[in-house]
Amino acid sequence: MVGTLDRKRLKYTGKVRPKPGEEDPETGQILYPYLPSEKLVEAVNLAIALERPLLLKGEPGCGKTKLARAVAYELGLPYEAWYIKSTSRARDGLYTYDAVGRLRDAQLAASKIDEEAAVKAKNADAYVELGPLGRAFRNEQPTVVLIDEMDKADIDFPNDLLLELDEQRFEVTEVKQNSPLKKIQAKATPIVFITSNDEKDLPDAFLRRCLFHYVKFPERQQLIEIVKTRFTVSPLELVDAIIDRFLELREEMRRDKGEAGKKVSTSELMDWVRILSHHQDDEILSKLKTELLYPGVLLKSWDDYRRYGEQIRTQPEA
Amino acid sequence: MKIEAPHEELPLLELFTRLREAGLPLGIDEYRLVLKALQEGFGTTDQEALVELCRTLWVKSQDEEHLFNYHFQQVITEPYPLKPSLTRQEEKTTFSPSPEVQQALESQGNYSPELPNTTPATVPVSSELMEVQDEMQVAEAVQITTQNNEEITVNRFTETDEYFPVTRRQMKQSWRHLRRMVRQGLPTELDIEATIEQVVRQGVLLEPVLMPSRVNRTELLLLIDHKGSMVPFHGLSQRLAQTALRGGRLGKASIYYFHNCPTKYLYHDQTRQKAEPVIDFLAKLRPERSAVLIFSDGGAARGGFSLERLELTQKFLDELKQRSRYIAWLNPMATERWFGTTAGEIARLVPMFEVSRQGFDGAIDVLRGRASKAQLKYGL
Repeated sequence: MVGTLDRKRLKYTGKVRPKPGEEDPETGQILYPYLPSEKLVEAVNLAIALERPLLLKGEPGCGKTKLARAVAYELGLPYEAWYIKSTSRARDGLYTYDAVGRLRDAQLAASKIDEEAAVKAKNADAYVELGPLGRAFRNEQPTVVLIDEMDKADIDFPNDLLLELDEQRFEVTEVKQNSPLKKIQAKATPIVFITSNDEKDLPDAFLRRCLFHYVKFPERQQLIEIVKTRFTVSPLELVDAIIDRFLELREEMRRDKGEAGKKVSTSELMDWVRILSHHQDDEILSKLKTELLYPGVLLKSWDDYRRYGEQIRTQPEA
Repeated sequence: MKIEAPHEELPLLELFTRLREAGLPLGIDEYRLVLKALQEGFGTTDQEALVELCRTLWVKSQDEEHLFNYHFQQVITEPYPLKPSLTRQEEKTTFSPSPEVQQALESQGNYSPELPNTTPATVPVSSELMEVQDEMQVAEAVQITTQNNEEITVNRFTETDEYFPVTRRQMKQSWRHLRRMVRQGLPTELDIEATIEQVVRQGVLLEPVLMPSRVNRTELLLLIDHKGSMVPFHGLSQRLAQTALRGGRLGKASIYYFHNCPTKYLYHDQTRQKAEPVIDFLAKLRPERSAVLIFSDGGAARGGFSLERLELTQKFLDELKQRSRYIAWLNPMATERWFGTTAGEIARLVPMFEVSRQGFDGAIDVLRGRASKAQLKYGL
């Protein structure tokens, strides 16, 4: 396999992180530092070494999706994201074929409106557009591919990808046998991350080929680290207070709803800290004791809002 | 290569076998994967790293993780020594003055080939072990003995409920076969045939012709026997109902409850508060679309024969057959238990299947309108 030698040198540490305010050169989005747990780092390296996709599960908002970008950043590899929708088909990730466009061009040519269209319509290759996985296969470098929320698709979707992930090749059925696009074989094995929210069960045959890691909710110390690397301003005392309040709320929710219920997550904490950082530090410190500031950022249902958002305000009176 | 070595020397084989026993979908590939990872230097620092490695490679869900942790503990600490030779081996290594890390490694990699004493020749007790040809038997025996230990017994139960004869996923897959597709609704799909025809007629492509997409028009009516002898199967019936309602992609699915046999009323809820007369139920059926699946033990759970029950059931089935062509019966009891009971007699009237993957698929086949007569037990 080409690229195997290079892969030996690929090692993810989780220590190389973008500087504050650094932007993705391609999309212009701001990159945020990602702090993986040690176990997660080990799992990533294992997936790279064994050339298997890494399946990530965990409660929503605990950083499953962000991992792939962070790995691509540290290793300096190209990054492709494939966001799955309920209507996604396995083939969409490999390529799409614009049959209607070709038909249109053929029509234009036949009616002598557009002479160039005739040339174009003859060449079936021109209507093939590679998807994220297809592009990753064509790339000389190993590409980090994120297949986000695979469980959203049809239950047969993962099985349709088995061959492509296993043997890293696929065929474009629409083009002619001698076309250079007919058979696409991966030049370098992509590093594939798959996230799932467990909405549907994934088939055994598919699971067999994946490595699995359950992304756990970060420990208190790790949360502090995450907030500190992401937001430069806050003094330690304030961060402590915010995170204490946050964990308290989380614990309350866990007690009431059990393990399965929706609890406040890391991503919501980030939003909360961001909105809180617009305020004076003392103001936050004093107010946090009596009320949950900006509960709308953390509580996403009317039930939660009533139960946790107002509760603390009434407590001192009672 | 380690892979070709005799099995006594394979590391972690014990754990692997136990996990397979416990129902984890592991194959030879998964085992080789661990070997490969070990050879590349993963999971060799300490015991924790090794656990983590195996977990990442072999465990695919949280429920499995629970099973894994239990078996790993068992294999590593081995409270009831499975192979005396090995415990001895471990004792030896514990007393040896090797550094801590090395020790940890050796004690868990029971069969690791670096150890000099693992060959059967040097360990006298191992000849006994050679007689035990089937490792499975031993594993079972150990499980039985460990059941005395309460702490471990508690751990043996997992939060998962997927140990029924048919898993949720399998049910969803099977429900999917139950379909009669018709084109219905808004035109959204490209009709290539019609488009070409239009181009031929008009000489130019003005716009593609669209047609409605295909939808499933099968209406499933799931009649569930509730309470009484069916109490042990409530979990199973709930799962049937859930998967039919959510994952099945049926045109429509309705659940009804009854006790023993539908007589005058069927109920929309388990507590039997919202009743619907059977006559109304039958009137709603549409012969071409409705598929009726009855889930009941038909008296096979308690055994015995009740003429009254048979007659009532026959009456209901006769009425049902007037209104629906697709009727099947799922019985939570195994086929062998039907003989001589009311269920055995009912199986002559309607295609009856036990709840297993095969049985469930058979029932779905009947509901699709395939070979319903041939499926009748004992013939007519």
